Amino acid sequence: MSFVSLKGVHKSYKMGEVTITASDGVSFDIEKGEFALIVGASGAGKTTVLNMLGGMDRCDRGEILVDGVNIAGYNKKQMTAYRRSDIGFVFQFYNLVQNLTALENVELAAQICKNSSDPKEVLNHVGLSDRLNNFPSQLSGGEQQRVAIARALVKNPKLLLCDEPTGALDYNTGKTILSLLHRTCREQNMTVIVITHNQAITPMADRIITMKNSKVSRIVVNKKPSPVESIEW
Amino acid sequence: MKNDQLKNTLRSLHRTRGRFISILAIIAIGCAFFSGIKASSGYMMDSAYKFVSGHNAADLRLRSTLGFSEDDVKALSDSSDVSDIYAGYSADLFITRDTENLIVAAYSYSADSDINIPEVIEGRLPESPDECVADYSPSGCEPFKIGEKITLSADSDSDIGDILSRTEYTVVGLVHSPLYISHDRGTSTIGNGSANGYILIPEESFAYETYTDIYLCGESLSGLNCFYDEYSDRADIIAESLEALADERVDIRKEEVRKTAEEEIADARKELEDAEKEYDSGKDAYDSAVKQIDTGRMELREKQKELEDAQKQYDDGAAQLEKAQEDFLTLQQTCLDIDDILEEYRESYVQTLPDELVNKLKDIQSAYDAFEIDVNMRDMLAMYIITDPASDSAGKKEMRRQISSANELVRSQTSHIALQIQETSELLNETQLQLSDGRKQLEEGEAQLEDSEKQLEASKTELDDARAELDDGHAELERSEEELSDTIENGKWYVFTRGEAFSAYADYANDCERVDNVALIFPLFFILIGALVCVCTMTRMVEEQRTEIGTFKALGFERGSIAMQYVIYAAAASILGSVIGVCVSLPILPRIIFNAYVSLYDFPDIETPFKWTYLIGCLGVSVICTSVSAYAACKRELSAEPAQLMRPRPPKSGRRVFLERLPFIWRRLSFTFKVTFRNLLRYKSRFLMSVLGIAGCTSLLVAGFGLQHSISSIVDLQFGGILTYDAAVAFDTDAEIETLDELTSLIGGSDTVDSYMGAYQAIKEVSSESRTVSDCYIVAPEDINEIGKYINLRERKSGLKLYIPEDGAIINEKLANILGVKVGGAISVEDGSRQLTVLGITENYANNYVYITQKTCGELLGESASNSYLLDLADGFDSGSFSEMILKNDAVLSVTYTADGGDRFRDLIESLTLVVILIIVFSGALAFVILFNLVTINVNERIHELATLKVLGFYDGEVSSYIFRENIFSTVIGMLLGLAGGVGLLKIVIIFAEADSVMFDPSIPAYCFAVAAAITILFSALVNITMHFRMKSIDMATSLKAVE
Repeated sequence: MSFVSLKGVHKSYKMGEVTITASDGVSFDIEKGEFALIVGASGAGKTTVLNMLGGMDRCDRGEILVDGVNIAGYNKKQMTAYRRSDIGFVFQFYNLVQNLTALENVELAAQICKNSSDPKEVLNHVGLSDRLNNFPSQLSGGEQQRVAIARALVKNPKLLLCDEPTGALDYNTGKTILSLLHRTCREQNMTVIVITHNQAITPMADRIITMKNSKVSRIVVNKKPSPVESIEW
Repeated sequence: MKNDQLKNTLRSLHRTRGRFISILAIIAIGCAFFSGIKASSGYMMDSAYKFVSGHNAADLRLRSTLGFSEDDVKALSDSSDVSDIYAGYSADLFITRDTENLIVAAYSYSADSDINIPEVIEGRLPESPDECVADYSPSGCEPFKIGEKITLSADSDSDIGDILSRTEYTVVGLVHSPLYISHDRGTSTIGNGSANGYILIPEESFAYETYTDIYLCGESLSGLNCFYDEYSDRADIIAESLEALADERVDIRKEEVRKTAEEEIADARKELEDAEKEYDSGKDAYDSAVKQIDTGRMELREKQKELEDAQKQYDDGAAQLEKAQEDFLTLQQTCLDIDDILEEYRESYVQTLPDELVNKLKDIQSAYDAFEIDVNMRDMLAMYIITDPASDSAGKKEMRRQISSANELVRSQTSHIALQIQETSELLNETQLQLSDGRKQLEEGEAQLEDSEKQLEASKTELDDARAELDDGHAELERSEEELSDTIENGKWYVFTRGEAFSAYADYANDCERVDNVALIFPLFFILIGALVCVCTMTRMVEEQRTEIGTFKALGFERGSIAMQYVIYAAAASILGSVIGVCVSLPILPRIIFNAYVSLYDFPDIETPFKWTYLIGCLGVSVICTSVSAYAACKRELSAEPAQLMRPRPPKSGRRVFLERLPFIWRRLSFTFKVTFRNLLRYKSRFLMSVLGIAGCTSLLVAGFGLQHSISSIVDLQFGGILTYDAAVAFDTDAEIETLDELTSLIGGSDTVDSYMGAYQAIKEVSSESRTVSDCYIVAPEDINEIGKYINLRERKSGLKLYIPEDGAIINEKLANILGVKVGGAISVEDGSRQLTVLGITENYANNYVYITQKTCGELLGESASNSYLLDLADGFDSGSFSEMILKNDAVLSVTYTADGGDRFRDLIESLTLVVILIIVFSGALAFVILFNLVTINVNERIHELATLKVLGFYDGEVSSYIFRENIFSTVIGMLLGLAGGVGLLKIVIIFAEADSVMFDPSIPAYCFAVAAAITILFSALVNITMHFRMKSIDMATSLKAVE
């Protein structure tokens, strides 16, 4: 059985009198330790999938199995606990707490989690051992995103979800961030799911799930992913 | 500004209605409180004025020591600026009831006068001279009843006949005079110094020769509200001009008075002289009467002597007669015996005369001496006795014959003697009668003499009395001559403005001003906080809509029209807020405040016509405040380039806080506390505002509760802790000594009275160099060591017991504050000729007191005798029956109970509680709105951060506490500051709200702080709970969006 498995997931939002179907029978599997990409144009339903997978939103129908557990049946509290211990989240805009230093931002996540790693070690892992006591505003975008990744990793999550992690970054920085994520995936056998509209980076992924009109249009398993450094876009 | 822009504004208004409403609410509360309280004084003054002008209360009252003549009245009515005039009479009089004695101010009433029209509450106005109308609400006594018959009497110094031509009246109506606008009935010149009420008596029932009072209405004062400064300024001008006229008139009047008085004095002198003459003639008559009596007595004495002599003669005669009778009887017997012997002798023929016969003959012989019987006979008998007859028988025979004839002769003589004796006896009897007649006459003479002596005695007393009277008359004449020159010398008119004549008017103006002052402190505070909140909110809003501003700019809209969107937003909130606030508050708040004062004053009702000025003022201030703050908030954004605006604004960077430089503290703080501190200090302005807002709210609450405690505790303190005597009995010191002694024994002998002490009490004017307080109680106890049993003299802070010093005074704290004197300072009483050193300041909360010894009092006021008793009564005494018992004594003027005073004071003070509650409610509302607003802004501003925390797996409670910790922290700091600030605020409020005769308890008990803190915490908790639900609903997806 796959580590992550979505089976016929439906989700629709009511916006006033209009009902928008955001997920229309989405099904896919992702294996443990895979670097998966969900790609698609804006409005294709990527984020909705991510939200449901990350425990931020619930599906109307279908099953979402993570490590064999169906999180679709979770109540609010269970969802929070799921987010707390099983999920690491990396945002497009980093979403660091401005008032906390790099180390403190990581500690913030670490303190609510039972089997967390040492924040300093994690920051060391993402290459920020000399910026521990800097505030977000004193860090570059790439550095901030590294802090965000460190914050996600410190919890030792089962799943690392990244929402357009390079969206706000320049090309080279984006590359290093992707490389960091890739490295983490490989070194820590971490399952990483990245959402992006950038088709160019698909070669680096183990699995590429393409979405279109709230449906999965194609799933490609890449047996030989190429390193990020070799990809140009 | 384009249509679509307006549409956008309206939509954003709808979208952010919470924010809109919070600005609106703050503006509404601020405006409501400000306009309500600010308008109160105006409404109070206007409503009062409506009553006053409706009854055409006099603007000025004139009194004169010389009285006013018709000419005076005419001169006054002819003077400029006098539109209306009424000359009448007034006097302070007593009314005696079964259970109480009243002191009333009696005023003359004329149906023709348009001034001081009384409002008839019940019944009707007087129509005949024996009718009167009375105060509908007298103080400190049973109310008057229609149909009640009252009898008026004057002070013992004056004669009721000089004042009134009749003393009995029937109450036909109960009225409210415009001269009395407070429940206090003022002072009186008689009795214990305070009046119970007033009555209006028909003018013609007064007996005064001249008018005692003149009431005037000023032409230039008509239509002016008497509680405004303009009125009092103009009234002062009229008063000055009248004083000038007064000087002129007084001189004329003095001349008149002098003339009539001199005539009167001359008459009196003539009368006195006549009386003197009469006395002299009386005296002469008396003297001659005395002489007559003396001669009469002498004559009587002579007659007595004569009578005594006659008596003696009579007594002698009687004795002689008795002897003669006795002798006569003996003689008769002897004659018989002689006959017997002779008979015997004839037969026996003895030779010699028997001895027996000789003895008899000797007896007869001695009888001769007694009765002067024929001398021959005696001689013959002697011869018989001497010669020895026994020579022969013839001789014997002859002798016997001779003896027998002699005996016969004697016998014949005896009848003569018997006759004589008879005659003598008759004579004696007659003399006896004459004698008793004489004695009777003598007795009568004696009685007559005694009578005339008695008469003489009486006429003597009469004469002496007449002398004394004459002497008095002379003295009086002298005195009245002196008095006349005094009166004329000191002859003066007193011109009083309304506020001076009837202090309630001045007090009311002061009270209105006090409310006005409160309107300055509290609502300004509210408006300040409101403006702060508005600035903060608008700034946040502009920040949120940064991108939109950029878009508008990029689309080519002018800066002004973009700014207008926000100005309109703010202005709309403030317009709506101020309209709602003012419209709701104007009819309600002033009414509440007025009701608080109604218990003090006596007005029908407050009228609250809508006042546009307040609405326009509030609108102006709030619209300007909010618009300017809205403009200021978006000004910076507007000057930025559109491209810059389109990019998300760099979040406010984190910073190290000062605490981090203190590692020993910082290291100990838990991680979450570190975050809290950083956040608090990151948004300094907002932190400051929260702290200020909460501090303000807490201090308002502390001040509110403190004020309530200050007010409510003084009743118990004053009437339970300080004035510990139960009752005071005021008496007339001029009453008969016997009556006063009776009173003493009545009080001393009553079971109800535990103990009592005499004291002199009076209401006097006390002044220092800087100020004068008109009605202070001067108290001089009989025994300064015992005063502690009746009045607790102690220092407030230390609780130290105070004793009345021999050479100074103890005054109460409030009086010391008003007069600005400390221990060692000097005060003066009445005219101020003699200074008193203040040697102690005593705790006291109601009225003002000066405590001195009776000796000092005598030196100061010339009066030192006690005029009242302070009584300590047995527990559970019955005031009704005790009053009845005491008032039976004619010297008693009044009986007042301390508990009644406390009750009256309590009523008066409870009304203020309403104002306090108002403050508390408003502060609470304010606190809630501010806190809510701040927390809303806080959450909105950090919604991204909060959503992120949620995504990171923070439970709802953890997310909430992330914000709450900051709230709690600022609440605690604000609260602590507020608790401290409240103490200061209360001090200021007390200064503004305290009347001269009241001292609020300035201590704030712990419960005030506790309650204020509790309410603040409660509000804070309420806001936090509301916020918790708000945060629970934050959509985590927000975290995925770019920062706005």
